[in-house]
Amino acid sequence: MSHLALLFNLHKQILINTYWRTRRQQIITTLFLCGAIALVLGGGYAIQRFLLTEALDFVPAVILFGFILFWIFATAFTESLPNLVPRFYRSPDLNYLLALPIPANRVVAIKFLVAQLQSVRGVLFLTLMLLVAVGWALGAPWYYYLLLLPAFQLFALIPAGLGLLLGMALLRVMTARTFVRLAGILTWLPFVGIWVIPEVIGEDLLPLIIRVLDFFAWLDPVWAELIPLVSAAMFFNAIAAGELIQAGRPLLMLLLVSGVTMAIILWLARHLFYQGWLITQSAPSKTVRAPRRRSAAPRRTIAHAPWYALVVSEWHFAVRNGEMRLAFLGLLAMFAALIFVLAEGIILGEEPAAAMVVLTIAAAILIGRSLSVVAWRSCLYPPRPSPSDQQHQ
Amino acid sequence: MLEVVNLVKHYGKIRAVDGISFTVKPGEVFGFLGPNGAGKTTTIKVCTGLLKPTNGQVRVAGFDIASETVEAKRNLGYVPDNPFMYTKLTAREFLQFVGAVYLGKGHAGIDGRIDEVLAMVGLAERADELIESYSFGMKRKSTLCAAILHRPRVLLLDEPTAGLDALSARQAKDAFGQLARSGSAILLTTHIMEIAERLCDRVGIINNGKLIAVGTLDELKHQASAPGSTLEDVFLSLTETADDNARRDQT
Repeated sequence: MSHLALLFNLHKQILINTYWRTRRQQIITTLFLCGAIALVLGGGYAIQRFLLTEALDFVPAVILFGFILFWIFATAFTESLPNLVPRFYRSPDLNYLLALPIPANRVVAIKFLVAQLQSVRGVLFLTLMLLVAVGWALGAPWYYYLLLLPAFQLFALIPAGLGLLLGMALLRVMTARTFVRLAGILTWLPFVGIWVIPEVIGEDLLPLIIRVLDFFAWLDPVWAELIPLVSAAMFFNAIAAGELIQAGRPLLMLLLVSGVTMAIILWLARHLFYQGWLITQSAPSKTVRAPRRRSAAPRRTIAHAPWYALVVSEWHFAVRNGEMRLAFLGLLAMFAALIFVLAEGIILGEEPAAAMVVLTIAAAILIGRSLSVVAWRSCLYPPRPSPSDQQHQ
Repeated sequence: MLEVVNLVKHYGKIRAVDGISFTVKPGEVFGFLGPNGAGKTTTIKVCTGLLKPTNGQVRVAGFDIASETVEAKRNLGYVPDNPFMYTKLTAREFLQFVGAVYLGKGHAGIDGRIDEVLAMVGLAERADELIESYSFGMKRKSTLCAAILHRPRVLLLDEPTAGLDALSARQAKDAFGQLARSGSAILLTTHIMEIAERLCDRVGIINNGKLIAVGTLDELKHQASAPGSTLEDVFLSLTETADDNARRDQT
């Protein structure tokens, strides 16, 4: 247990030094957090004001929470797959930690947990906005909003862990290259699914949902709460209604199921770890870069706006190899769809407010993806040595 | 001491290490030389427990690296050729973490030992700055400090002086010598023959996964039938001979 505490303190110290060491960092971090909170609250208000008020007349709050949590489950599961190789197997400090006198299973456990937490970062903003919106519509008490983030992380651990576990199993039967491509495609399934599934299933969608809900209602409440989706939905619903005592049992069931599931996942991960680690260590890179024409003029360093830097960074990422091109095209397609909805709303004038909500959601997804891109890139590509370091090399 | 007994490591059909055996005694500096792709790094990775051997045994201070992994690693210090650094830690914080791992949190005298190793490599004045602000040489020195902090009984050094300036390289070599005199067994890989000639008590030459020569410099010169020549000449002669023999065996 002391090794886990050491590794936890190590990561804590790194976080403090990264975001809270100097006065300047403290100010920037505080401003960023305030901005993020404002975005979540603003987006939540917009969603509640223009979309949710009518919805809650037809759909009970607990069902709405269920839909949101199902979305979290699907996205956390699929988002964890592309993170397996860069954030876990090729984590920069994994080899170093494995060479230390720390039992390998403890290293695997802590790195697995870190990979899980990082996997859900991309959907954090959107999900929090949705949960804030529902809470606002229901008139939830103040502690509902404080519990959102920890409850979200608790619930998202299971699907993220299952996704990583599936990835580790797949790496035993396919190459790392094939897996990364497959994971890149799968990550877009939830975003595509919300458009395609209603179209494909059509009128059978509502009866199907009702049958599922009837099944949960038929189950004994204790058995039903063993299903994390149900216990989490009931927990959020009780908290939003201000019923703390009612929230106790679903929370305990969620903690119990999460604990048992995580123990099983970590046990399986330890057994699946070594072969996947070996495959990802020795997988050669087949990236072929087109020769770049060297300009005689020296490059000027220009300070660009963050959004411009993000676009340029995405482009350089996209042209790097096939997997990156696929991810870039998917991102482009998703934003094209969102902008289409926005334009339709404004032009037709039927739901201009809905267009504003879509714009807010797009901003949240953009921020979430940009955080993932920046973090992923810094993980995969460590900062280049300075010219003075290169001279010594 | 470090004992490698009939070590074999396969990557699928590739035999990266093919039945090598050698021993590094306490107080000895053993140079491990070989061309690129010979199996040096694979051997070192097996000795550090990063890879599991296909066959054979590696014992570090009497502990089997495969079955008594934690105990073996506790007696081991390792400086890789491409070391990883926690750039968002200071050198002192990094060494405090390493000290806690090897010696236990709150170990008496750990702070004094940290100051001692930092002074040994000339990092004492910048110990409380983030590692990301260090030059390549300073980062390398930090890695060296981490490897020798707990006074390991076995020290594995993969290209330890690469990227260091002359003064830093001298400080590093002095540190290795001090450790060897205090009883540590040191395994050192390097492409710089002068370092191997000057530092190493014995040298082992590996080529195509096989250990083709082991001994003192004089013994190797005698084996290569090249008395009076440099280690570089001996190395080239022995590896070319081994390549010729391997080609002949294949045909």
